[in-house]
This record gives sequence, C-alpha cells and structure tokens, in this order.
Amino acid sequence: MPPAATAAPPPSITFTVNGQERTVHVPPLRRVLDVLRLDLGLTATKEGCGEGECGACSVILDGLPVNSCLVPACHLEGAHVTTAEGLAGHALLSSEPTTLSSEPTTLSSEPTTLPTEPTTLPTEPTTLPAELARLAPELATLHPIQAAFLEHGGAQCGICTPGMVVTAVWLYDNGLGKADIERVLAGNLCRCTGYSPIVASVEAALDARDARAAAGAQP
Amino acid sequence: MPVLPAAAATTHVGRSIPRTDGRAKVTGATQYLDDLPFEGLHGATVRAPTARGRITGLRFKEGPDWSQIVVVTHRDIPRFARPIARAADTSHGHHDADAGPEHVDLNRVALIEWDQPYLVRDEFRHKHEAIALVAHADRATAVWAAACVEVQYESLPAALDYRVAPQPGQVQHGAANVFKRYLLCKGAAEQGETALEAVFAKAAHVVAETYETGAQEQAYIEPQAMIATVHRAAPDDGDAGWPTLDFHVRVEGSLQCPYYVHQAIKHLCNLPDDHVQIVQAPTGGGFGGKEDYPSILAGHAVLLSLKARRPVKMVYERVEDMQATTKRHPCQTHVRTALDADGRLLALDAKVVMDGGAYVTLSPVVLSRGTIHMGGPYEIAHVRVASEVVLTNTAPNGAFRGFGAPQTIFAMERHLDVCAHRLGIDPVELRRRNLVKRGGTLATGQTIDEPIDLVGWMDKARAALDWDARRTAHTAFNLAQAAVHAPLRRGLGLATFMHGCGFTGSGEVWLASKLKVRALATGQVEVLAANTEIGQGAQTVFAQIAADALGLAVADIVVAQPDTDQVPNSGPTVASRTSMVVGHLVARACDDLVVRLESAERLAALPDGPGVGSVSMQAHARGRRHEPERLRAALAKAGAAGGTDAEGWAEYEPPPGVVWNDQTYRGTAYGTYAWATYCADVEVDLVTFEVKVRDFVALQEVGRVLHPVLAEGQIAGGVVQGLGWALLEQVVADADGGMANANLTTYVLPTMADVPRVRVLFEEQPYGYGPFGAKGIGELPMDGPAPAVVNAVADALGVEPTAIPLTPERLLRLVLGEG
Repeated sequence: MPPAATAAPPPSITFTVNGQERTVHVPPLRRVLDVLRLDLGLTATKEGCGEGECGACSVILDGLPVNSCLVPACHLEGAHVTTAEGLAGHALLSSEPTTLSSEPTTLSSEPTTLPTEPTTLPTEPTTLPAELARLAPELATLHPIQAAFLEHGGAQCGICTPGMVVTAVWLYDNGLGKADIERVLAGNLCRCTGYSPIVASVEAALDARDARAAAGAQP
Repeated sequence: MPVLPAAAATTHVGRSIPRTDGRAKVTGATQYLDDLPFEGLHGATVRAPTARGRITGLRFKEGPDWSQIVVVTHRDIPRFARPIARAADTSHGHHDADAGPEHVDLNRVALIEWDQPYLVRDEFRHKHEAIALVAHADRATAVWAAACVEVQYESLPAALDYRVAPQPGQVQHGAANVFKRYLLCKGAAEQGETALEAVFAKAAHVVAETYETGAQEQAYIEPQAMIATVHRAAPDDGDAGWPTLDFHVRVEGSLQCPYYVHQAIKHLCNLPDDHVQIVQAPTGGGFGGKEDYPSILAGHAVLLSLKARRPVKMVYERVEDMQATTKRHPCQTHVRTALDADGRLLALDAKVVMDGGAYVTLSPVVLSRGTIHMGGPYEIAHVRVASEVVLTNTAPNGAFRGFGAPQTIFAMERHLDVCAHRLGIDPVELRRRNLVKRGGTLATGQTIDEPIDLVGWMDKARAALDWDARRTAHTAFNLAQAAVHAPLRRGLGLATFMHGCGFTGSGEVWLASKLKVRALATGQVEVLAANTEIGQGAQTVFAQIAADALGLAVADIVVAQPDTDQVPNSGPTVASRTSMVVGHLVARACDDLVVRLESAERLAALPDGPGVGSVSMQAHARGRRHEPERLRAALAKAGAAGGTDAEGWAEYEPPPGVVWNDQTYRGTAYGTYAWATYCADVEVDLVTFEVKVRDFVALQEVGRVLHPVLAEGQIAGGVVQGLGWALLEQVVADADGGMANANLTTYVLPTMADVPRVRVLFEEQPYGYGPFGAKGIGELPMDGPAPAVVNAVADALGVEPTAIPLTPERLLRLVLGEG
C-alpha cells in the first residue's frame, strides 16, 4: 500500500489530552497512537503489535480503556484522552483538583538514584506535569497504582507498563474490585512478570483504596 | 581470589528496595529506542520470498520515487578487505580463501561461525532473509518501497524438516547439514557401545520413548529497534565509499549484549575498537531474542546510514519481527533408560536433535547446554548423550531463556513419569530413588559438593501444594465426574531439575569479563558494566551489591547505561550470569577502589576491631570498617581528581577446582547450579480439551536471594513463559518454512486470564563465589513448567503426551488414540 495521499489539507481535530486542549491537523484515519506519539510527542503510549492484541498502546478515551492503535483520529474530535503521562505529577504542579488520587505514597526505602537518562527534550511541548514526570520522575507524585507497581514488582522491562498502568488506573478510579482484575487486564500482555506481580500490585492498591474508603465512612 | 563473606550482614542485599529504574517506568518516562527524538531516515528490508533460491535480479517496480529512496544491496559492501583491526577478537574471523589469508569478507555477521551474510549475495537460505535495504524520511514510504522491490530467483531444493535426513540436493553444510555434534559419555558408555548395551541387557526394565518440543517466539513486547549514526571527522565529500579511519560509527538500540554488536559492527565497517560505539537504549524485553539478532539489525542500519550519510532508524513491526528473527530451537529427543526392579536408573541413552535453521548462529552453544542438562539432577552410573543440531531452510533459531536446557529437561522429566507409569511406581517415589545427593555425580562426571537436599526440597514443594490431600481429592473428583459423564479431570505433576549458572565449562575464563567502578566528585560511586538492564533488575541489583560492598547507601551508587565508549567488557547479558558472575565483579571492583583510596592515603584505614557503620567487603575480610561519611569524602576527593586512584577494577577469576574438558565433555560443566522442584495442579476439560493450570508451586534453591521482589518476578515470569511454551505457543510453518502465524492474534501468548498466581518459594544456601552468596536464576524457571504441567495432564487423563505445545487439538488426538 502506498502511503495515504495528502492532496487536500488534513482536517483539524480538537480534543483534550491529559487535561489540556490540543488541536492537530491529521488525516482522519491516522491512528490515535500515532497522533499521540508522533504529533504530540506523548511517547509513554507504546506500539507492541499494531493490531489490538498486546494492549501496550492502551489509553483512556472518553472514560473507557481502548487500544489506541485501533482507533482512528476522527474519533478524537471533542474527546477526552488520558495517557500514562497524565497520571503522575498532578499534585505538585496542577492547582486544579483532579479526579485521580494524588496523595503522597510512602515507600519502604531510601530514595533511589537519579536515572542517567533522559536528557533531551521532546520536539513537541507536553503538559508541565507530564514533562516533570518524564524529566524528573523521582519528583513526581505517583498514582497509587503506579506506587503499587513500584513496590510489588509490577514493572520489569517497562514496555507494557504504561498501558498496563493506564488500564489498572481505570479499574481503580471506577470503583472496580479485585474480582475484576483478571477480566479488565487480560487485554494487556506482559512477557516479563508472569502477571503475578501485577495482580499483587493492583490488589495492594485496591486494598488500600477500600481501606481508606471504609475509614472515611466511619462516623 | 577473595571469597566474599557470603554470610556477611547486608543492609541492602536481601531487601526489596524499589527498583532504581522503577519510577521512570511506572510513569512512562523511560524512553525506549522508538521514543527517542530522531531526525533522519527510516529503514525497511527487502526479504526473500521463499525458502531457498539463487537471486537472478531485483526489479524496482513503478510507484515509489526511487530517486528519493536510498537502496543498499550486498554490492555496497566491499567483497574483500584487508582488515584494519587485527585485534585478538577478530583473529578467529572468517577468512575468505578466494582472496587470500590476509583478506576477510566484510559481509558476514560475526558470531560463532561467520557464515551468515548481512545481505544475501547470491543464494538465500530462508524465507524472509534480508536481501536489500531501503530508507526514506517517511517510514510508511520506506515500508512501501521495500514491498515494491521484486526479488527474481531460481528455486533451489530446501530442507525443511530437521527430523529427516537431507536429500543430496538439500545439503548445504558439511556432508549432512549437521552444524555441530556432541557425544557425552559416562561409565560404561566410555568403554563403548557394547559395554553400554550390556547394562541395558541386564536391566529389569528398559523404557524408550521419543519427545518433541516446538519453536517458541521470545515475544518481547518492544520489537527489535536500532538507530545508526555515522560521523566523519574529515570534511565529508558525500562519497559512499567504505569507512576510513576518520569515521566514527555509533549505534544505539534495544539489545542485550553491547560488545557482541560492537564486534559485529567493527568487522562490517572494518574499523578498530574506538571507532565504533554501541549504546544500549532502555530495552523492552529480551529473553535471548536480543542476544544475537541485534548484530544484524545494527549492521543493516549502519549500511543504510553509511550510504545515506544520515542517521537511520530501523524498528521492526511485529509481523516482521516474528518472521525474521530467532526463536527457540525445536527439538526431538529419543530417550532410552535402563532401570532395576526398584526403579533405580542404571543407564541413560539419549539422542538429541535440534533444528538450527539456516545459519549456525548460536546453535552449537544451545546444543551444548541441552546436552549437559539431559541427564538432569539424577545419579545415573552410565550415560550416553549423542546430540546434533542441523541446518534447515528456516530463519535461524537462537537464544531463548534456558538455551537448550528446557528441551532436554522436558524430555527427561516427561520420560521419568513414563517410566514410573510403566513400572507401577509413583513418579515422586521414582524421583526419590534417583535424585543426586551431595557427593554424587551428574552426567558429565561432575561431583556435587554443595549441601543439597533435593528430596527434601521436592517434598517441601509438594507440601506447599498440599500434594497428598489433593491427590486424594482429585481421585474422588475424577470418579465423580466420570460417574455422571461430566467432562472435567484433575491431575498433579511435578518436575525436578537444575540449571547451570553462567557460561559452560571454561566459557567464563574465555570471556575474561572486566568491570570498573569509579569515584565521582559527588562522593558517589559509578558502576561501569556492559551488562544490560532488560527488565530483570540488573541495574538495581548492581546498586545493592555495590552499596553493601562499600558500606554506603543505594543512593550513593550510580549504574551507568551501557556504552562501549565508557564501560569495559563485562560480558554478555545471558546465561543467568549477570547477578552471579558480574555482580561478583561489582563487589570486587568496589573493594579494589577502597584499597586504592587507602593506598593513596585518601582514606585512612581504621584500626582493627568493631566500629560503627556498615562493613566494606574488603574491610570485613581484614576486620576493619570505614565510616560512610569518611568514605564519601574520600570518594569525592578522588572523584574530583580523577585518574586511576579514582577507579576500582575487577576481572573474572574462576572458582578453584573448575576443570572442564571441551573435547570429552567431562568435568565441572558449571561452577554451581540452581536446583528446583515445580509442581502443577491442572484441570482438563474433555469437551474443549483445554488445560487449565489451577495452581503452580515453584520452589528453588538459588543461593542468597539478592532482592526478593525481583527474584520472585523472574521466577513467575519464567514460569508463565514455560506454561505458554507447554500449552499455547505454537509456531506454524507455511509451505516455505516461513512463520504462518507471525502475529499476536494467532500466535497465542498467555494473558492474565490464562495463568494462575505462581507461588514462588526460595531455599537459600549461600554460594561462595557469587556476590553475598547469590547464584544465577534468570533461566531456571523456563525449565520446569512444561514437564510439570504435562505430567499433570498425564496424571489427569491417563495418557502419555510426548510433544508440546499440548494444544487442545493435539490432546484431542491423543485421547482419541490418534496421537
């Protein structure tokens, strides 16, 4: 197949990504995955298979987790998208309240060393919290799901992790429970962990969420 | 060599600190190769259309604007060159007899035998082999252009079944397409055929069976990816000639072994060491699949970059990755055992045949590990293992976690259950009577001098599964199901096995790994190793080891991203060696740094006797301690000054008593082994013939566990890869030997819904030559799941499966007696 002809100027598509309104001029059948990665520089969303099997490209689109490699850009008009970049860092830099829990997490050990990478800026500016999370992840406040992945070994090579985390955060934020983990996350492939550490991570986060809710419900 | 105090108290080792790369990964901040900012061209590959043929021409179809597309074929690589670099590591390279001994063929991928071209010159040997390369600024245009190159060819006879001897026209290597053979003999087998047969003749029982295991795709979620950049110091006239000494070639990529790629690109470009730089980008999984293939992809990117004089990026799509890159070797194993009336193994006679694919690549080493592990953790007086790996016209098979061992361990562990069933002995009891004890010998004649308790560990694993109670419950369950013609059957199975840690025999001596640490002006210590973080947690474990070796905090340690301009060659990230072998070097290099600081009098040694703070390893040996703040100050001072006083070095030294004979395959195959029992509880549905793994216990002795969460993650991940290999993952060949199901829709990987929570148990017996007592664990968990789960299916149904993947179709045929 020759690349799509671009005789007519591509239409403009306006949508909200990680709380920020963006307009792109792309062919309507361009994959959402490519809009995010190539047009907006949001590279946390990965391509693992390009056919909706692996879930590495998972994002939340208008309240539902989707494989962004299967969704054409025309679906983005007026839509709200959350990517992995939109999960961490809100507490530090965003004055607006968010629906995502952002309380500081307590990890059992001393601070880790600074990563040697990354050092270069993306070609496109991204939202400031996302940029902070990318450049100085040790300063970003983690979503409880992210913190649980860190503590319970939910991430190994890390390539499936953003998609896995996005899907797990959707489960967490929508009040689903432990019984839903397997069903919701079965669309996200991981080749490293054997899933047990991921299940342990999500369960720990859900337990903490439910314990807090129970405590909050006390008179 | 200083033996590390394995039992030394540690502050960081043994604790599950957050992995040092963890925050970047859970926030999506980690930039993998395809995430890096990039200005340049995108490469794509023109591939062979069938299994074997002679190229008669390339036709560039109408459509693409060919004037805007960079095209590279074998003609762009000088046929012969006088090597610039005559370093020791190229001396065993491929010399082209046609051109005289001083000349080498640059179009060869440097590995064990240099038989594989980067780009086919004349005859292609497998479907999807690389024939030409194209590049364009737009990736889609490059992919389209590659599809618009028609390869014109004459077909040649192809060998497609490794189990069948080749016809004369199919022979392409040696006399019979055999890449490598081994013969391992112990006891009567050393005297010859007649003596071994005499043992079989006198045995109460002889059991013979043939087992088969299929190919398996590594299926790292990040496909192969590479960026090549060529710099020229002199003004570049744009001439696409071959590199001269004013060239610097830089490759960054998703890879396991920077120095393998370094050697390959040095040879391809005919450049000396310091003109080629290989940098590992954060890597989205490897499992062996990024051990050897990255040398080829790096070469392709470099070739395009040399011609285009622009950076070139090559990222495979999933389909291409599965079609063109390596897989686990398919294997057929004939096993014949002699047993006495009580079920004691008297003799083992095995013949192992592996499918090497079209080029030698790593096949001899894979076969070697499979050959050595054939005998398993059993005391057998008389052993003969004859093995060979043969050429077929399929994509070369290569490294995949376990590296030949899972294949022969599957055969042996399945065979033991077959023996047990035929003799009417419980499979557990049969193992109890044959497992090796301390002082016993394995198939290579290696005496086991570790305090092992294989029977005790097997019983502990069974107890964790509640084996005896479940056995009773399953018998009742199966009777109840059968009574009402209901379809479910349950069964239990186990496997007892071991995995040799590090390179085989004298391999580690040949590697002669070197590692450096250096003091930084910040007072931190940087670890410089070529070993790559590919998910297993190497970076974190190195930081823990260094912190404890120095008596500092983990935050005081920086682990450098592997870059051949910066890090010494500490060997490849393979063979379960990174924590054990290289981690040991980390600890020793830290000691060396402390000693240098002391000799340079930047650090006054404290008087003997107990003090406060943590214990440096070296200081521990001398009964001294350094107070962390003083050490940090000394490090900062040395780091600011730089020079050799700021560096600590370590080079591999073998443990004493390791003697290995590469000719006879006798001796200490591995310095140590990790030992394991895996137990599976399955339920089979006789309507769908699906096998559901209800529960899985993985118990292993791995020396000291350096990081429990990471170690459990390694085991659980390996177990699920093993379950996939056993039950789901089937590489289907098309008529030309290509992969017919090269996608994740029809090549089925286990999902979260397909596997149980893996229950991981560790036994820890510190090993004296690993850091703080650690052994290697990376590959071990690939070995046991397949035989354990298939033995459980045999138990549930009373059938004897001999081949994996045990798909529903295969199991149906077996139950119907068409097996």
